[in-house]
Amino acid sequence: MLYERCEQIIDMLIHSQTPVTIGWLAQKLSVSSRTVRSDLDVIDQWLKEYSLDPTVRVAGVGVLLKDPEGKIETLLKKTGSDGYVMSSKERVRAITGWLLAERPTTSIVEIAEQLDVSPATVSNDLKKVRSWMQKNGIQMVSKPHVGICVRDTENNIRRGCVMILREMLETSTNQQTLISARFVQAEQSMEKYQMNSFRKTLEMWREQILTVIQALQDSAQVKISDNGFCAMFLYLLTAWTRIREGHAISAKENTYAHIKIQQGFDGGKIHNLIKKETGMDISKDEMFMIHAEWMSLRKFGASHEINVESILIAKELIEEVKESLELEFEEGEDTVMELATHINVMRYRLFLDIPAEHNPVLKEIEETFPDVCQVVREKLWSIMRGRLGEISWEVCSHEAVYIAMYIVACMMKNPLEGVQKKNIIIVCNSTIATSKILESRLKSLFDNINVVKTISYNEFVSASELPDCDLVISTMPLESKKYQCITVNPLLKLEDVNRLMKIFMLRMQKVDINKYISATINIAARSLELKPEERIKLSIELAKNINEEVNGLDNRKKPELRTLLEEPLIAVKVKAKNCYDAIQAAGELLKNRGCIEQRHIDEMIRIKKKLGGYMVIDKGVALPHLLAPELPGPCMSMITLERPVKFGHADNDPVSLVIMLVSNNNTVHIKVLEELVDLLGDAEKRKKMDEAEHVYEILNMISG
Amino acid sequence: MLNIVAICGCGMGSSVILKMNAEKALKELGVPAKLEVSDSTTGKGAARSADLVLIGKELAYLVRDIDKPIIQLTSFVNKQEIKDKLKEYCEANGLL
Repeated sequence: MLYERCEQIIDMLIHSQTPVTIGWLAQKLSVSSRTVRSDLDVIDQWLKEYSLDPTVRVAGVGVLLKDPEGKIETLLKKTGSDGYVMSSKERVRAITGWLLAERPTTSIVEIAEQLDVSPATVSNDLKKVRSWMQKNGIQMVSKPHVGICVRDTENNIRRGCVMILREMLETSTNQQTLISARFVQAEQSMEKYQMNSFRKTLEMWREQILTVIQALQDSAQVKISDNGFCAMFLYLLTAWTRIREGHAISAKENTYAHIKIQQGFDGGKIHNLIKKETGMDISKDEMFMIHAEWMSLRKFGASHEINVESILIAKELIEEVKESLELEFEEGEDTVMELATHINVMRYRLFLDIPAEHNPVLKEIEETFPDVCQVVREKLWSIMRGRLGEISWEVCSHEAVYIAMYIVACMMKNPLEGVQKKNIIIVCNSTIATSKILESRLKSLFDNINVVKTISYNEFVSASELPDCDLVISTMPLESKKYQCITVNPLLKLEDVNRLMKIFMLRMQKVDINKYISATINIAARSLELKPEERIKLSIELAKNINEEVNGLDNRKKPELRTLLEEPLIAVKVKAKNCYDAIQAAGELLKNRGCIEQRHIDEMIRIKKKLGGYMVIDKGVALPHLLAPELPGPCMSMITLERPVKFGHADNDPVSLVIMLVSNNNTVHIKVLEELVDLLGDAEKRKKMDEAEHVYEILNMISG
Repeated sequence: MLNIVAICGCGMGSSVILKMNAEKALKELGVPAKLEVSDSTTGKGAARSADLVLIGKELAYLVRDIDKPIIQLTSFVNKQEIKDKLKEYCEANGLL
């Protein structure tokens, strides 16, 4: 939607035959050239919405806008500000704004007239207004025959104004546009919502507000974030409007001993600047509030500005997290200072009762480290309430997550101390060189590795007893029933590192996952210079991945019988001449599903030949099984035989039920075995299984 | 603490079943024990350092020359058999 000045500009442009200079437009409208340029951006945006060509701006020549078919003119007439109809959401915002700042007292009838809707509609909207006010802690009063009004302190009303302005300008989505066009759109929005006093301030002092923010930044030698910039603009806009309308704020500066005017805030200079720019002689209290607002938005402060008390609070919070969660980590002096700086600024926000900037990382911190957040939240609440008195729980708990972020970053710096080292054996073909390369590479990457022994392949194969270890890392393909083996490139390529990291995480399930995240971060930090924020982002990503990994692992770790034994993996009344036929048949089911290969079946047959009837675990039940670490997880098949065959077991022959189990690990399938034992222990079910004519009957028994 | 090793062909199937059932049985009997599984290749070594060996009848020959109490089992699934045999052992050795 366009505001009046834009319409004027369009009008002048389309009725001019020759290009018009910006300077001329500025003179005509009594605004600066800069304002005209911003207006032109708004116009272009508006034209784009209607798929019309933008203005043509040629340096040194001027601006040109053609409207040969009269489209723009028609549109202008149609969308004139008088005819604008607000949506329900917009009406609620408008009413809220009016109650806060535009009309001391109003009534349903008055509002209805103003908005051109029925009193019933207004009454409905007022419910929403009331709940908005309630949510933001602002007193709203409505009395029959008197009217509706807001009765609250000037501080609260101003806070409310800033919040409703945020909604009206939709700063969360439009922030960049607002800043780039120097808040020209704000005028348009104020007009739309009929916030006349604010529109007037903008008209008079929009550029002046920006000048003051610039001066604030210059005098403190800091740059504030876009969020901060936007918030400061809205604060000054509100303050100046209210001052202009004759509402004074009282800061009760003396009661807030802990909020001191900081170095880097040149109150006198800012006061004079505002006087020069606007002619307003701002009171001491107003200056104090501007200072507090400004301090609350600044992201970084110089270390000499940090209050000693903030450092103590920082330390207290870190201690609390350590104690309550029984975590051990070294907080570096720099982390404490970073946190203290944050707390320094946070006091102002708590004092002003305004929430910190929105940061998407916060939500993830909250989800990833809920316990840290909880501890900080409670502790911070009790500390700050002791120091500041009445503060808002919501603002405080939001800040707590920020602080939790610093503490999490702190935990990541020195995580692996005290963690048990993992013992590994390195297997290499006899050349000493490769194994040395591998060893030093491993040590440089993983803090928690302890190389027990480096041996040759030959030694590994022929040795009867090897030292205990958690993992065998080999430069050539290796299989062992006893040890978990992993084959890597001696130079440890990236994919090897990834695999190793996974294995280490998998094998360290009991240990705090955060520590392993940080281990990973440490590895990453060695090759990349990571800032604390990036480190946290990365760790959140990792935590997600690992959590998925571990959850996935848990599922894989304890699969249920019925999830493993799918329909195609069961067959009934299979014909088999002997036990080898039966093993082959059971294996075939798995092979056809792509779970295993023929060599696995061959191996089971070989074991059967070598070890005899050991695989017959109960009367009539054989459990041929194999450990195959290269598989992604356990798999299982089940067949009943048409005619029982002998497996060579003295007591339990002949076998009529063959259950095949191939697993990548000797414990992941424990739950399945447990279920299986229960199933087989049930004599009735066991009998039914033998008699089953169809796979479904067996499936029923498994899931039942 | 009773150190028990359950042995089977490859240390992942029947011996695991055996271990589970034995653990349950011992818990019911109230005998504290630590159970490990082992396979046919390492079983002998493991058996040497254990107090008691659980093994399927068919594989009993693997540990025949080991001087350790051995319980041979016909069924790995039959909890009663395991419990009875463990009870017998525990009673004989004054553990109950």
